[in-house]
Amino acid sequence: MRLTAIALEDFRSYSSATIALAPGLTAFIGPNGAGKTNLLEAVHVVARGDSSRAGDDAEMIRWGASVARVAVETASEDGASRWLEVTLFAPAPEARRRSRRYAADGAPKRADDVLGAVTVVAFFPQDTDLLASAPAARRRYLDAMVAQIDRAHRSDLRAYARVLEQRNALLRAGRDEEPIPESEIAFWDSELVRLATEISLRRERAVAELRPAFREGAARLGADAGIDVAYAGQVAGSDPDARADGYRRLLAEKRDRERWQGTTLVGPHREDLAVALGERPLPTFASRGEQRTAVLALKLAEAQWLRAHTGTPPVFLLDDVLSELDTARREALAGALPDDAQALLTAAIPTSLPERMRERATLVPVALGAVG
Amino acid sequence: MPQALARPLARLIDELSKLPGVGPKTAQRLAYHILRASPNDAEALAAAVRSVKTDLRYCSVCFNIAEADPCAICSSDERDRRVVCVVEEPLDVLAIERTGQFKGVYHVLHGAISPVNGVRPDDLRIAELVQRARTAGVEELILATNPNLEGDATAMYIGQLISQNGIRVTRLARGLPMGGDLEYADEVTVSRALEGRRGL
Repeated sequence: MRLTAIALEDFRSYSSATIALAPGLTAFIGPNGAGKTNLLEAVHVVARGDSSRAGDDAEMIRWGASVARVAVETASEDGASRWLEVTLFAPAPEARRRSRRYAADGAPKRADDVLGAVTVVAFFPQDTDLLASAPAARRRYLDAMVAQIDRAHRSDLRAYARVLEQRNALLRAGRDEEPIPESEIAFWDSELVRLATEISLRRERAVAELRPAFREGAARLGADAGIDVAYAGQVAGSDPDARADGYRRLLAEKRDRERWQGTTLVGPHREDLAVALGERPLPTFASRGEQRTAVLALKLAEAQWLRAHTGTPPVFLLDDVLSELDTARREALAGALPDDAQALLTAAIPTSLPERMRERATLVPVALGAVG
Repeated sequence: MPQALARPLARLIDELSKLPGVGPKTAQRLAYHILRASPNDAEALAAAVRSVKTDLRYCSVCFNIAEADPCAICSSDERDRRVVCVVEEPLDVLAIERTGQFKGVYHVLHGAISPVNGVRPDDLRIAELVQRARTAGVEELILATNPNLEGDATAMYIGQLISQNGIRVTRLARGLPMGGDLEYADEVTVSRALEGRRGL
């Protein structure tokens, strides 16, 4: 599977544009603010559903417009092509909020039928902060990664969020009013344990599968030799029954504290993806450059993991990565990208591309909402 | 500032806009419609609204909304009082009655457990159900709460309370809708249908 075109209507700085994509490496070259990142963001929205930076769909719609369309054309190995499309709506004042529309070749589809059809691995400048930010960001990253190959993960996460909301409301009511009898909390405990086991096991398995590729990639990019990644779960055990038992025991142990704090303390919403050197968590001592290297290694490992599960390499989206790396790391990154993978990258000037990348890349100039 | 809108009309618009799903614009349209309607139609609407509050009551056995207490179903001789179907809302009784299959009686909970919305077991007719199951020679309880998180929570809570009494507690089957296409069903529905498969 590869992308053969991007089509945009009223998306960010683009009023209307269609950009053909060559196989292999494509580098969008242009000054800051020209709209290079917008192209990568568009692909990200169709592939994963969320934007790499916008908190709200309205932010992605061109100023003055009320609807934006983003579409990518995909070509599979047998040559069949398909347009995947997402329509975004800006909430008009007084009007009801319209939710997104998804389509494939013009026919309306459910979100789940469009999202995930293209797998991507993205690196945007703000991803550098992944290791230093709050655990929630790393959980989101890990969940989005797992959801690309396992749709059940997405629906389990939604169900888990609802259980958590109800259980927290109950615990809060118990703290503020009369204590909750065990018979009333039993259902929420059993749902919590069921979903926690599924979600946490999937995450842990993914991280374990990722680990060798991460360590290899980190070494290649010149990181410290002892660097390692692990899933920091609250309970151990790769067997579902043992894990569920662990959560049940932990719930019993934390019962009083949960009642006292009025919130759920047990479950995958308290777990984390940990990158560390020996015993020390990386963000406590590593420089930004070292953190960036670690995140890049994580993303390269994610790409191998996706490939192992889907059979095709994902599309790389690399936004302004090269300018922040030194020459040796640029070369290392260029070498680490699989030869047969498609990659879209942005750079302000062509010379920031390492020699071996520039040779095989298609350079596409971008200037103020116009491409090519 | 002089009143632009005659007061009775403004009052009607205000009252209508309190209804669920009715915004200020719809309320205005409805109010003008009623204004232009024949006196008979308008009077019939007013009478219907009044009658809903004065002529209806809750059945003291099943807590369905009824004209008489006990309701027509609870006082019928054709009904099997050993089987009680537990539903969330009065409209659910209607849905099951339409099948014409069920010959037992009902128990309406008036909601489902949902702590987020402040609904706890004590806010529902659950204590009355337990009481009823204990005394009235009930043999089977069919839990027909909705197949969602809140419905499941309610069913399990009731199940816990009743199971010691030697009463058979069942739950409605869940799976594919009739006339539907397998390919359009979501994963959760299909996996539930697989779990609940039956021998031919």
